[in-house]
Amino acid sequence: MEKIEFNNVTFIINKGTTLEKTILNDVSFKMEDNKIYSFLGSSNSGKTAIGDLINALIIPDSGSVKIGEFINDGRRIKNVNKLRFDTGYVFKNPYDMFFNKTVKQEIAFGMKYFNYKVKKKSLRINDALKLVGLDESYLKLNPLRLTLVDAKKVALACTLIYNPSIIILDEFTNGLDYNDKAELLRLLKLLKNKYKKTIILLSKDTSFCYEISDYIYLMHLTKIVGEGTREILHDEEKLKEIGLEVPKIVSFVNECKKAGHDIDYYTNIHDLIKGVYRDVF
Amino acid sequence: MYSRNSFGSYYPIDSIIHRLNPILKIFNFILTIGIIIFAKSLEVNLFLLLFILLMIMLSHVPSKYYLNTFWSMRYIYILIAFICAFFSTTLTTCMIYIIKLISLVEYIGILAFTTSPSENIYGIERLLQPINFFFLPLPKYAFKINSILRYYPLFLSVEYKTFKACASRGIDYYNTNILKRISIFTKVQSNIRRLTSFKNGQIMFASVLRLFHDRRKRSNYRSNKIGLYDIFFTLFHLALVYAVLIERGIL
Repeated sequence: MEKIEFNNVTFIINKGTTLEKTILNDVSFKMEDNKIYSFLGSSNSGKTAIGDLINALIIPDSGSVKIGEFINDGRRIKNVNKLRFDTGYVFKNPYDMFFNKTVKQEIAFGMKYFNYKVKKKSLRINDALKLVGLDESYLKLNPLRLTLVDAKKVALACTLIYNPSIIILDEFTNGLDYNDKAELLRLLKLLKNKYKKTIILLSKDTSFCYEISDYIYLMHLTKIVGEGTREILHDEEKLKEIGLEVPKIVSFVNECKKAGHDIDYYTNIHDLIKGVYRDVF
Repeated sequence: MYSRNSFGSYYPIDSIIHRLNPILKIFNFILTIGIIIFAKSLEVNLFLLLFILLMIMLSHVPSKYYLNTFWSMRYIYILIAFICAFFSTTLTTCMIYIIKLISLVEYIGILAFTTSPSENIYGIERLLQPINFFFLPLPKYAFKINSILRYYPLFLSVEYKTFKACASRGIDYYNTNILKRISIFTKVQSNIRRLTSFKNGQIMFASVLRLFHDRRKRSNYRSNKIGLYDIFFTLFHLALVYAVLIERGIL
C-alpha cells in the first residue's frame, strides 16, 4: 500500500432529507508512507468521515480518495476486502466492533472466516493481545463487558492481527490514563519504526498528538484549516479559535517565554525537564 | 456502502403523524393488528396498505427509510411466495399474505420513526390503565411491549453495525455474492440476536434511569393532546374494522 490522496472530497449525510448535513467540504491532502499523521479537531469537524473514507466504508459525494491502487470515488471498488485488510480501522466506539461471545472469537473472527493460513492461530492471537498490553486471561471474557480502555485495546488487537500497513485510530486516547497513553505511545512508535506502518490518528487529544505526530491536520467545521509539522500547535490563538486545547507542554513553554525565559519546545515531559534545567538554571 | 442512515430509530421532525397522541397511536396499532389478522379479502388489505402509504407520506420521514425496511425483508417475501406456490394456493392468497406482512412491518416502522420510546411507553401504559382490574405492574409491561415493538428496528440497526464492523475487517457483506452473504449471515446472526437483546436491555435500563420507574405510575409526563387528526385517523381505523366485521359476517 502506498500513498493516500484526498482530492476535493465532499461528503454529505442524509442527502435530500430534512436532516441533511455536510460532514466534509472540499477536503484535499496527501499522505506519505511510514509516518504518523494526526487529524485534530473538535466534535463534528469531520474526522471520523476521513477514517470511514480511507476504509471505504462510505463513498464521497464528490471528489475521490486514492488509497494505494484503490480509488474510492463512488464507483464500485474491486477487491475492496483487500483494501480493508491493509487499512486497520479502530472505531470511535470500540463496542461497535464487537459481535462475538468472547475476546478470542472476536480477534480470530476474520482468520476463521478466511481460513487464514497461519500455523499457530492461537499463538498469533496471544501475540496480538500482548502487543496491546493485555494478557491471556482476557481471551475468555465477553468483549461487551470489558471496560472502555480494555475494549479499545481488544479492538486494536482485532485490527493488528491482519498486519495492516495503515492503522487508523479514531479517538483512541479518550478515556486512557497516563500509563495507558505511555504504552500506546510506545506501541505506535514500535509500529512505525520497526514494522514501517502508516498511522492515522483522529483525535482531540492535542498533547498526545503533539508528542507523536510527524504531520498534523487541523480540522474545523468540515474543513482542513491548517496543516504542518507539530509547530502548528504552538499557535495558541488558532487552537482556541477552533475549540482545541493547547498541548500542556506548549502552554508551559509559552508561559515561560512570556516570563522572559528562552526555552525550546520539547515533545515530551522528560526532555522538557532536562531543557528547563539546562536553559533556565 | 455503509452510509449513516439508521433504520427504525426515532426520526425527530415535526409532522402530522409525529404530533398524534401516543395513546391513540397505540390503540390504532392494535386495531391494525386485528385488521391484518382477520381481513380476508384483497380489497380490504389493499385499502389498509394504501392507508399506510398515506401515513408514510404524512410522516415526512424520507421514504428511503421505509424502503430500507422493505428491502431488508425481501427474502422473507420471496419465501412466502415459494411457500404459497408449494401449497398450490392462488395468486390472490399469496398477494394477501405478502400485503399483510408489508403492512405490519411498515406500520411498525411508522410507529418507530414517529414515536419516541418515552411516548411509546406512556401510550401503552395509559391505554392499559382503564382495564387494569388486578393492579398489575403496568409500567413494567409497557416497557416489555415497547421493547418487543422496537425489537425488529433495533435488530436492523445492530445488523447494520455488525456488517460495518465485519466490513472494516475485510468481510464485506454488501459487496459479495449471494452464497458468501449467506455464509456471513449464518456466522453472525446468532451474535446479532444476542447483541439486539443486550442493547434492548440497555435501552430499558437507560429509560429507568432517565424517566421511568417500572413499578410506579408516572404523573409528570406531558404528551400531545388528542386533536382533530387523532379523531380522523382513529375513525379511519374503526371504519376498516367495520369493513372486516362485515366481511366476516359478524355485522
